[in-house]
Parts: sequence; structure tokens; C-alpha cells
Amino acid sequence: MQSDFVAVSVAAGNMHRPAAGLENELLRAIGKSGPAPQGIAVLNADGQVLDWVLMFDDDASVLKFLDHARQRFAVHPDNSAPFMTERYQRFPGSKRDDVAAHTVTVPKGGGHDDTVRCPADSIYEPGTLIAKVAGRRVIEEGRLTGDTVNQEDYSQDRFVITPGTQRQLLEAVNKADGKRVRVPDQVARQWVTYAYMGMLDVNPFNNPAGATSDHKDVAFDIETAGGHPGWYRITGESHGSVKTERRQGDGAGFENDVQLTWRGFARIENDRLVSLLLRGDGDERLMWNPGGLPGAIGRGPEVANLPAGRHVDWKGPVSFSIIGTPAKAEQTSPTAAGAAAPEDRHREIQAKIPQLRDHMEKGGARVMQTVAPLMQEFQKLMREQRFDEASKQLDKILGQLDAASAVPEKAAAPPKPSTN
Amino acid sequence: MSTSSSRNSTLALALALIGSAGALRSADSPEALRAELLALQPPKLVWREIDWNYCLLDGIAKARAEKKPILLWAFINSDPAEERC
Repeated sequence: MQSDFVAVSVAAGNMHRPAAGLENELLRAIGKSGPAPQGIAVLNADGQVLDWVLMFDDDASVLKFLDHARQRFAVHPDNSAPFMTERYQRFPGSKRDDVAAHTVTVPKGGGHDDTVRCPADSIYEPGTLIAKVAGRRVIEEGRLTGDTVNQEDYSQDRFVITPGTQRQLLEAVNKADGKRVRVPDQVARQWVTYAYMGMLDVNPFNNPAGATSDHKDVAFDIETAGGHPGWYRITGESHGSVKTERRQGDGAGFENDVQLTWRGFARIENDRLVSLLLRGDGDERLMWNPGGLPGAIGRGPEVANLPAGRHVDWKGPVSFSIIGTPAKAEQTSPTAAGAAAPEDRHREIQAKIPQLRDHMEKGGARVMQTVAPLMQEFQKLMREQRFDEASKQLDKILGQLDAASAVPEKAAAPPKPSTN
Repeated sequence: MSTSSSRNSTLALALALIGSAGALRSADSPEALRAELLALQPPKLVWREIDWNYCLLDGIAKARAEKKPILLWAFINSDPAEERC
């Protein structure tokens, strides 16, 4: 593939949202012709879609598709003549209607101008920590499986710890003056949220489909690491669990239960978290039953079930690593907090909503009353599309809800009004 | 932890893991733990050996220069080298 194609990866979301600039216009035109929001496409050298495909009849059909697309490229290498975009639900057996190839033109030598950010670029506030997560299946006595293809063997992810989230940790550490202290739940929950096997749909801590978690328990402590100046020792436990018999929409059923014991180190310099090293070991139970395939579970080639995923029913020991390092200078901007694209801020807020919903479900009216004034302000900021401020307001709300839900009912009292 | 049952199950899990020689082998310094975490990374992932472009305009420039078609993967995150799909 490397020798015959130029490989490009794009976020499917960027193909289906309004945004300024030539690249976004091109992505929207490509996305509009697709048979689904995600998929694989082969484009000619001017960025026009020759073929879309979602699945393949069998393994051999993958290479046949690439050959087929190369033959079409030989006939339509550029936008010099109109042609039709082919769209395969499953190649070659299930073909949908062709559509006319889009006509968005990229000028020769054309690139980004200075006014529009490349949709692939992520710009962070200085001091942001980027954490990379890897999960491995353990075979026996700590020995890892060498397999890394299937989702129950290997997982990978990435998340960012903003300076705002770091401040919550630093405040707790500073108050304790180096002694052992509980890591704020909101901070610890972010650390463990990405430590699970399986695809995005089975996240037990922040389920993207809104499936309710039976457990979202975290308990992490941090204290000065004697003999290692600047470093803090971390210990913790987490238990995330989500289960759905039959999801609305596609009918998928899934279960994921992850229990881990954690240990690690954090390095703090100049009121910034500059390194995070965490290891989680424990057990996971993962089940995924793609919807609409009751008679075909576990059967048929995997490439014939790409969007729904293959059937998984597995339980076993797992190990996770998290390594957090500061964002590189070229990835940051002093104005990033205010200059982040509104859609990024909106996405950030959406990612926090399950935590808010969780508090509403578990804490009820008593807990929600403690943040009623802040919620009104949050709603106002959202209505006015001031997403940057709304995101910070939501952080404040979640922080207070974490604190309120940790207090016994009789002792809970509304917080003092915010002065911000 | 929010319930006594989850505390009990976590305690049982912790005890079970303590009995496992490899899983909880303690790294007592940041340097040792970092080495341990790096050892958890797979040595080779085939999809990381693909030279992915994340900017479509860059991909088009390369395709024009090399006279090759573009294989476009549209997935829910944006970086197949690092992120989950």
C-alpha cells in the first residue's frame, strides 16, 4: 500500500461540519458523497473520490478493491474530465448508486493560507500534558501477549491534561504540603477513562453512546516521593463498568468491566505537571455483540463486518501504561485557551456531559442544588455560544459536584457564591 | 469507592495481583517505572509503519508529485497511530 498510494487519515467529524477554508470545503464534499460518516475512499490526485467502500466480501476482496481503485485512477487521474464516484457497501458484492464526483478544485501548489487553521492541527495551551495510553492483554504471570491486532489484545489512546485540570491536582497537593492526600475525583477519573480494551463504544467511564455506567469508582492518593525530588508517588484503584443489552439504534449489546490497581509518579515543576507515569494492572471483562446479527455472531470474515465490529466475548488480566509529557512548543500557543476553535470547545464540553449526567442520576436534587447558580450561568454561556467560558464553568461545576457528593447528606451545604 | 461490595472486590483483586509475580513488580523510582511502561509498548505496530498524512492538502500535493492515488481513511478519531477507533 505504501508504494502504490499516499495514505491520508482524517477525522470523520471534520467531513460533516461547517467550517471555513478550502480544506474543510473539500472534506465536506468528499464526506457528502460517502455511503456512511466513516469509511475508506480512494481519491485521485486532485482529491476527487474514485471509490468509497465500507466493508469487503472477504479478505481477498481487500486487495481486489485496491487493484480496482488503481485501475480507475489510471483512467481518472485528475479532474480534467467528469466521472462518477463508485460507492460500495461491501466490495464487490454490494454496490450502491454512483454519484457524480465532486468538483471542488485545489489550485496547483495550493495549501493553507494564514487565516485558516488546518483541521488536522491541535493547538494547546502552554503547559498542557499529552498522555499516551497503551493496554495489553496479559497471558500469565505478567507476560504480555505478542498479539496486537485484535482489540482484546491491544488498545491505544491519547488524552490531554489541560493546565486547568492540573491546577485542581496542584491545589490538593499544595494544601497537603507533601503529605498523602486524595487526588480530586475529576482528575483521577480522566486518568482511568481511557484504560480499557475494546473500541470507543465500550468506554466504561465516559460512554459515547450514553450507556449508563454501573461503576465509575476512582480512589487515588498522591504524596511526596521520598528520595526523588520534584516527584510525587501515586497509588490508586479504579472500577469502571458499563452494560447494555440492546443499544437503541443499531441494537448492539455490550459489557465492559475493568478493575485496576494503579501505581505511578507525577513530576511537578513551577506549578505545572510536567510528567505523569502510571501503570494499572487488573482484570477486564469485555463483551461486544454487534446488532442485527443474532444468527451470524462469530461467523464470517471480519472485513465483512467493519462498521459493526466483530463479536468479542473475553475476560482476562490486563496491564495499562500511561505516559504523559508536555505538548511540544510548536503544538502550543499562548492564546490557545481563548483561540481554540469553537467546535473543539464544544466537543470538550460534550465529553464532560456524561459526568454531569452521572451526578444528576446519583446525587439527585440535593447535590444539584449546590450548583444551581453556576448551572444557570453555564446555560447562559452555552446559549451565547461562549464555549471557552462555558467549558471552564463546567469544570467548576463538576469540581463542586465531586466535593458535594463526597460529603454526607446532613453536612452538605451550598457553596459560597462564585466571585468570578 | 462508592460501595462496600466494590471495596471488597477491589481488595480481592489487589490481593490476587500481589500474588502475581509479574503484574505488580514494584518499580520504586520514576526511571524504573518509565522503563517498565515502555516495556509495555508493543515493539512493532504495522499501522504505525504507514506514512500517514493528517492534512488532506499535503496528501494531494504528494499525490500530484508522485502521481499516485490517495487512500483516505475517515475514522472517528484523527490519528490512527495513537488513538482508538
